[in-house]
Amino acid sequence: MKMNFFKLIPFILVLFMMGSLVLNTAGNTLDRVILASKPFTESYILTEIMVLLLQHDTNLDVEYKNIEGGTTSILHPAILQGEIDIYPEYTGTAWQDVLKKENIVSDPQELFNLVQAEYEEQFQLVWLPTFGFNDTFTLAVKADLAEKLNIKTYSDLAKVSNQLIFGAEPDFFERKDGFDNLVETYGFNFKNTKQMAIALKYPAILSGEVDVINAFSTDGLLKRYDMIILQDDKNFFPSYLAAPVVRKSVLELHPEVGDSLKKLAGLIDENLMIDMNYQVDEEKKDPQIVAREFLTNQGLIE
Amino acid sequence: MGFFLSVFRLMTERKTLIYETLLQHIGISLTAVLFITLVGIPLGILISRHPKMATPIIYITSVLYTIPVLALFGFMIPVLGIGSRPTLFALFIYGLLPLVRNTYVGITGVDRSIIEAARGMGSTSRQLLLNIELPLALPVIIAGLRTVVVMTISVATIAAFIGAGGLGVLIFRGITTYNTQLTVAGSILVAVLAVGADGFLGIVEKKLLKKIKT
Repeated sequence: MKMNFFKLIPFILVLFMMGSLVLNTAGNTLDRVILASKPFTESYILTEIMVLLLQHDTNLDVEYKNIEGGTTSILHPAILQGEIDIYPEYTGTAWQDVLKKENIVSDPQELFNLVQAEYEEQFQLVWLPTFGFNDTFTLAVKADLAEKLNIKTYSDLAKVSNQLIFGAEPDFFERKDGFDNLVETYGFNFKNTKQMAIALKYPAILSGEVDVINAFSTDGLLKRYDMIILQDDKNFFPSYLAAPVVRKSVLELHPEVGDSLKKLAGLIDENLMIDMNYQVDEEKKDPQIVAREFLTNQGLIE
Repeated sequence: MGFFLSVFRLMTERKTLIYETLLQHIGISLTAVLFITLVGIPLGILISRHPKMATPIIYITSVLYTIPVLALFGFMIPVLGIGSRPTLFALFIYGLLPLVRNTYVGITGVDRSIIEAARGMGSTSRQLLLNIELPLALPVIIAGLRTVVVMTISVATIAAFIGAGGLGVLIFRGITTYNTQLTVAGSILVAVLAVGADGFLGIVEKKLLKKIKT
């Protein structure tokens, strides 16, 4: 009989653990908004901007949750669960990855309107007005190479692609607006392709391991590495306008959140975004400081 | 040398972030180790008492051990959400195997003749466990615990992935913002923490064993 005690311990503890897990769920209080970012510089800056502005404009308890694995596949379920309330998303990503649409909408504003309507209807999530820039995919090569081979557009690139090595992150080889369809549209025939983490693409092009990379049009490092963006002359890549996505119930409960974030509409164009990204990636500034400077310059905070 | 100076400079510049993530890291690791210990050791004892259960239980914990953390996070969001719950869950199922197995092996490895002698002297099953088997198995159990602690501290960097903070924030942030110093700072702290905790347990182990022998 004595052994019963020992037998029970693990089960009691497992029950206890489960109990504490369940109790934890009730942690989200009404006067708190939780923001999260995607795991790259631009998203950190946008989220810091929203956090600082909300702290300034509202009396809510504003929390920035660091989710370093916070790609859309993590953040979207999290916002649906109410684990987070706000995060910056891109129209192109929402259209293809979340809404799983096959067709490509080339007009940026039309895409935004479609995404906005679908999100509200399907998920009770609201797309506030966009920040103003379009962070789309693009192809980039080193400026001297572009000059030597006389490449300005993707079609120019197609003519010499058999001499060049292409590098991109693994995602790019999986996406609809990614490698396979790109190759098909322009008839690229690269000598070789290499897959690498986003952060390793620029070092790789610098060391000459790859010649052409896919890049984001607002990437601060384009400026540093003296690279040029080629022109997408067949409009292959869809648009990626960035905007805050907010839970509808939060906006209903706290209208001041929407009022505050709407002040950011259209304030950030591509060049400003490149510049802010550059300050973090190259000048090693804290994203929070870059965000604060932006808001001060705009006169939105003191 | 200049590089390490710049790492050190960064650590002083961002000391609030570093302090915060360090505390989170310690908190997560301690909580996880606590759960693992409270479940793992009793479970190990239980299966040493009931050998029929030993194979399936060790098998189950081994299977849990092989699930990739990132996959786990992906499909557990609807159940566990984000933050400390999925992190603790992941650390828990990872840490369970070494401790359960070491406890089991430690106890079943005690010399049969000693146990027979104790039985012969009229020890009850409970006395046998507390006075003979556990003390003799202690070095093996503590070795398991040390493995768990070091592993938990280093695996806890994945907490950052799912929003539970910790030193992983520094590491991932460093990678995504091209800030090598930040990544190195995070890694150094994780290593120091793991080595420190292991050293501390080493001292505890020595003290405990001395106590038992006397």
